[in-house]
Amino acid sequence: MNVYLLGMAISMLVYIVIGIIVSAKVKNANDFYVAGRQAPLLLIAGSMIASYTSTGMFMGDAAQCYDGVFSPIIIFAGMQSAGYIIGAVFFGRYLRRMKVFTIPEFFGKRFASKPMRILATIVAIVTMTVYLLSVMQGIGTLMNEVTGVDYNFCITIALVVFTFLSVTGGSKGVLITDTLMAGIFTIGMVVACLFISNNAGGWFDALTALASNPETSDALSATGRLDGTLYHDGASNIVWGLVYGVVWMSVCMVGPWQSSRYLMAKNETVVVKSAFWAAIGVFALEFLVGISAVFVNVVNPDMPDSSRVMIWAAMNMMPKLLGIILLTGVLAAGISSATTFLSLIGTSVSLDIIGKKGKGDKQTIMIGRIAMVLIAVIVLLLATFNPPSIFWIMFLGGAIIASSWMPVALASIFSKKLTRTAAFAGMLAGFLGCFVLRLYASLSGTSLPVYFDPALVGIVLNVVAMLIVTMLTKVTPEETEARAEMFILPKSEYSVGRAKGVILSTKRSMLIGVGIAVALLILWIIPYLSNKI
Amino acid sequence: MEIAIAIFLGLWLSGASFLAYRRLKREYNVVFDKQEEKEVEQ
Repeated sequence: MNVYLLGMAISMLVYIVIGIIVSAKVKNANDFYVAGRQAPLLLIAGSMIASYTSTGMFMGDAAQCYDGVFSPIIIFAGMQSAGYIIGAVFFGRYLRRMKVFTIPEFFGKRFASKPMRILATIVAIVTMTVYLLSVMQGIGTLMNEVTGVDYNFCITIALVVFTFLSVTGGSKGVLITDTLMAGIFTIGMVVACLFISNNAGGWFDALTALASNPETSDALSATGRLDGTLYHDGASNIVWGLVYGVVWMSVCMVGPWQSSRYLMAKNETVVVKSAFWAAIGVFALEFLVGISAVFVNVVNPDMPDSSRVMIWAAMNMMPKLLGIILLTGVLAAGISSATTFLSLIGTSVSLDIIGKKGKGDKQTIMIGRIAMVLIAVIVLLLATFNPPSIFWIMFLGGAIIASSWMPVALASIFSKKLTRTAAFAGMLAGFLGCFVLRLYASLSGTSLPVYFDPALVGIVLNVVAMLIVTMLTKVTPEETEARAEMFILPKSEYSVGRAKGVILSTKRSMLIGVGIAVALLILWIIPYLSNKI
Repeated sequence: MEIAIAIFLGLWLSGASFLAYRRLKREYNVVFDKQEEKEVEQ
């Protein structure tokens, strides 16, 4: 039996056993949907890192770095990390104070508006289903490549595992398995980076070899290679990094698979501190994955399919046992994101669409579980038949959240004048602007200039629509009251020790920026510039 | 240019943390005021 297949099979069995154990702890709807609102720092930070990190990072971002656009990837990774910090302090804490179960419910409650909740639900479900589909395809590709087992069989097995985890353990189970998986892929990646750099001649020698070779020197430059991996000019490559930095920063701020974790946190200190750990963790992982993929160029510069770079490295540059750990980690990254997406989609269908009015806890949980199974079946059918027309939708995930949710989410907290009609118009304009532009570009085969990215256009349309409609409408007393509720510090937060602790931690976190700049200089820039030809 | 990227990312992240720090300090003042009130009463 293929040892990699064995490793993956054992890891999936372990997750299932954990899922069964955790499911016994789910006593009511609160436990099932928001982990009893008692989750500690480790689980919230672990789940945020695991939900973000998926096969997209280990296969997509790694491929881009291998192909020579390391720097734009690092720009977007660094910018998005700030999204956690801003999101937790300027959105997550207020969200948690509303005591809602879902983010669409937050929008509905904040604006005392059912249509607002429905629109936010549609956006959330479309985005997360698309993402789930793309993660599943990543998992299928990984398992098929490593084990040689049929692709459709691989995605079915993976789907059964993550559906089981989401259905049995609910959000409580997802937090625990997510954190475990985050541990596995983080350890796997740290070890992998050490081995890959060692095999490439050692960290600094590998950088020297890459920088002094005319074929690979540009791969580590500020602009990256200009051979069309991204664009053919350096400025566009850098602007791409900046644009995606803004888009993914928005996702880390308000994206449902990130900010919903705050609803499960046991207090605001956990919200703030978990965001700082997530910011550091996600950036460190992006850096390690990216630089490892670049190092592979020293040993094998002619890989035909660069999305397989980490798989190739695990199977050819590492001892078998450690390779198994890395590949199990990549699989864990995919499954952990999939459990979060499926769990949130089921929650939204059950609570935002069907609603829990007049239903007991058992019935509400049962509806959520049925919804998750149904969504899983739909996603399996889509992934199996893989209609080519859905490919363009896959690029939309983060872009839609950035363009439709981000401006409204921030304005819903900081604007006294924003009305429910303006918020609805903004969200709809952002959603349609991004969706229609991407649809047009895909169907017509048009390559849009980097500064005309659908997400950016959507954000602008969202803000413009909010401003215009706000001038034409008036805030109702219900909306004013709902907004005021968010600014009341909960009694449970009145702890001088904890308040001092959280302020001190944000003060210290200003050092994150310094630390990241110094790390980049030492581990990449200075060795690169000293040897660049 | 590479050095500019490192400096930009450092400032970006530290700037975000600074904004967060200012916001939290302002909001948690209520907690410290309440504590002071208690101490004065005692």
